[in-house]
Amino acid sequence: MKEQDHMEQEYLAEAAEIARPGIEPLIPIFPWPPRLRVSGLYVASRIVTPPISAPGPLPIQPIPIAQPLPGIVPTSAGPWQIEELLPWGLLREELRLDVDGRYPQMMASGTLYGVLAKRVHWIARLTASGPNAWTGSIWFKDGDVAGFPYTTVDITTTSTFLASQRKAVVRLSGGGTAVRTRTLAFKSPYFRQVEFEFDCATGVTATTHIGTHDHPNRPATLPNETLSIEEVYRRVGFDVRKSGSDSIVPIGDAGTNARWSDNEMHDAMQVYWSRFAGKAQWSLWVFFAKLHEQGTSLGGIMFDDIGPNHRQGTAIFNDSFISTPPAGDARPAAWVERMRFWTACHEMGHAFNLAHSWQKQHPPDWGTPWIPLANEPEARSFMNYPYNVSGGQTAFFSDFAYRFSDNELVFMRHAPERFVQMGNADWFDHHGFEQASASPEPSLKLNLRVDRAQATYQFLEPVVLELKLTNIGARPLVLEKELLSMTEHMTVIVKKRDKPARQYLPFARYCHDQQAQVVMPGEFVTDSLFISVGRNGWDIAEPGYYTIQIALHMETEDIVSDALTIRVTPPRGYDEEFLAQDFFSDDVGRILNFDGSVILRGGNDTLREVNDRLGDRAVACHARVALAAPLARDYKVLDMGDRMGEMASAKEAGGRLRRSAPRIEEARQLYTSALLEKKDQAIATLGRTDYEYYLSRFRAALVEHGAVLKKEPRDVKRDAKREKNGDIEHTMRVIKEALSSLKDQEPVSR
Amino acid sequence: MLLHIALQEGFHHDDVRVLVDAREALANTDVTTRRQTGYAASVDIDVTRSPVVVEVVLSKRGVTQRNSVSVDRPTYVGLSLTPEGKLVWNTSHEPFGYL
Repeated sequence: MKEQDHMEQEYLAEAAEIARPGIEPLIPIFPWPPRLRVSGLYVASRIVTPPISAPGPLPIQPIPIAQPLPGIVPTSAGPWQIEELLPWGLLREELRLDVDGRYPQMMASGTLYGVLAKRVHWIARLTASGPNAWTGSIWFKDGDVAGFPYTTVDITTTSTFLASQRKAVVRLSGGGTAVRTRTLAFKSPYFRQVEFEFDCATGVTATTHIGTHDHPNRPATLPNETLSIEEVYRRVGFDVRKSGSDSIVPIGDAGTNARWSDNEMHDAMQVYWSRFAGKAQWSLWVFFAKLHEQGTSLGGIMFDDIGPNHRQGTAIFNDSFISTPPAGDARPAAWVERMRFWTACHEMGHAFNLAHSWQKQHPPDWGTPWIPLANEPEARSFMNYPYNVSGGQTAFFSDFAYRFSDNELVFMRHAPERFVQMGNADWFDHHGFEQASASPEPSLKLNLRVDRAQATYQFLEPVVLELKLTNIGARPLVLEKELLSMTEHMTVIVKKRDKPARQYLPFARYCHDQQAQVVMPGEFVTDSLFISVGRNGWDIAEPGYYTIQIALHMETEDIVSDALTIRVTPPRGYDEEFLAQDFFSDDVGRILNFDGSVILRGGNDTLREVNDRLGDRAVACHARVALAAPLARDYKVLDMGDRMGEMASAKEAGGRLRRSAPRIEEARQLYTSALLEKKDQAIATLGRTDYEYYLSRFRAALVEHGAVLKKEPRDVKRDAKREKNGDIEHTMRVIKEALSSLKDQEPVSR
Repeated sequence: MLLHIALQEGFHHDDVRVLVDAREALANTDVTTRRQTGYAASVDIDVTRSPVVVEVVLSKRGVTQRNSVSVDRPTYVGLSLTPEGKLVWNTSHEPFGYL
């Protein structure tokens, strides 16, 4: 079918909806002349070949004017402008405009699809700026956002009765770059398309429709209509289709007890669902059965958190408690039908990755806490339990309009496809999606960097990030001096590809004396972040790709960094695989994080083994630094005697501080090997910030233990300034001088 | 008389012991709530007197709580953990349902 014909059909389908009872007309009768609904999906497609940079000037050729392909809307700017802004060719662009129709959220979201699966997704909150115009700030970005600096969107629509002539002009601006204007064609009044299949176990009837007035306990204003599950999800914004293959699942597949386990249902899904595939797709299997093996207490479940593609199947159990009406209910049969219908919509909501209304806020170790939503324990939503609200199920249904909450609608309509689509993100992964309160015109920019050309790490090599916070505004800013080392002001997310995201939780938080510093426009502050391991365990360990992103929470806004993707390579051989079992432990994590310990002996043994057996690998540099640090100075240890490890106060246990004497010669050898012998490799793996810090500690230890630095008084001030400015070469010269002076003095203090 | 004790929201790799009148009724390690349903584990106990003292021990969290529960008719006790790790008791005379 030609695209043009398709759009005309969409228009006819849209017009047909006008006549359907109980549905808000897309073309309202009043006021007159009618104002067409503009919400829906707009698209543009264009294949762009990235420009090739030539070594010398090329002969000037007339630029051929691109001819629009059928159904493709010409853009107001040429394709080359896109390439300048995005570092990859753009293939397709979508806009979801959500300003009228059923439950408008005053949002717009856009997705730009490029070659090599590149993608940018953005969401903006809108306010009307004219009769067919809206403006708003972009508060969410996802994907390959490096070439997408925009902070503001302006949208103007053209409405006509001919669907093929409807369009939206999208103007993106802000972020210190040129304005980008594109025109997209109206494609559908729905934001996304989804397909359902309803299968029943032998002898079970699916409740897929309900009369909204069948039960007397309802909102007074609830329209009287026959409502289907498909219609519920159409009102969310999905173009709902049926697979056309609804079927019966023989009860024998539930095993001899005729109750269904999750695995039995998963097996049945693979056999009886006509669309089953081991991949993400906008398709859902809904299974109606009698009972789960848990018994009558389980009314339904999104059972599919099994295997690599979650959320493809969901089940409703007709013989469970949902079929037991409250004693004395006025219309018990209608109550049961409503509860079965409600349960089906609820379980299907889980398949769209919606959590329960009271589960939106939770500890990080439950799942993905990307700036979680607030709980909605009283929400009149399909995702709440009716009997858990104040006043119980009677209060719930007296005020329930067969809908999802606004936050849930925003999620299903506008969140990145992979968060919502069945079989894509794992169950509960990214469900807590919400906005960072980013300013449309931020004054600071946070960059994540690594000190190497390619962000590839050897197996076992800890990851140290360099954080750079730049004043990109026009005015000087006063920032806390230790802002970037105060991790309590940060949310740090680490996501391994195809795994749920994890929040990095540092072992310790540091309380700094508040000191301000002025950062002029264009100036920046830097710090390091040792991110591999924290209280959550090892966030970066197994080989694979990891994406890291940080939100820095300032007083009035959040500064969200670009996402940084790193790769951990597979182990080099048996030695590394074998050592990994001991290396990825809490003790080793703590030793590396705190730059050494004399207490965690098992961890130190592992690091010594790393140093001995993997001396040429980057991890050995970290091991040497961590082993050297406590040897280089007096080290105080709390000795609790026999009660070491017990939860007791030092006083109760008769604890006393014991001094561990420095072993400077061992420390010198370890520091020299780690920091001086292969300087460039050390900077790459430790990060420049930490490398400078360890150099200065090494120098201080040498001086403390007898090294003599020959300096004229005027050099002292100059040297201090050079060290402050991170002059590594200078510090290394000083250290070599100190080492040389130690050689001249025998014996060295040990 | 039936006393049903259910571990519901918020459990995450917890070691849980439940004692009724000092007798162990449930001792499960690695208890985790299934977030689709808000259910983790449960036990049914036939008690012969009322009230009884229900004691819950969450060893990894260092939490121990005791409550007197009246069981003069079938009684359902739901135990949930808040995001802050606080143990919340919910007593009902209707069976719990999960969705």
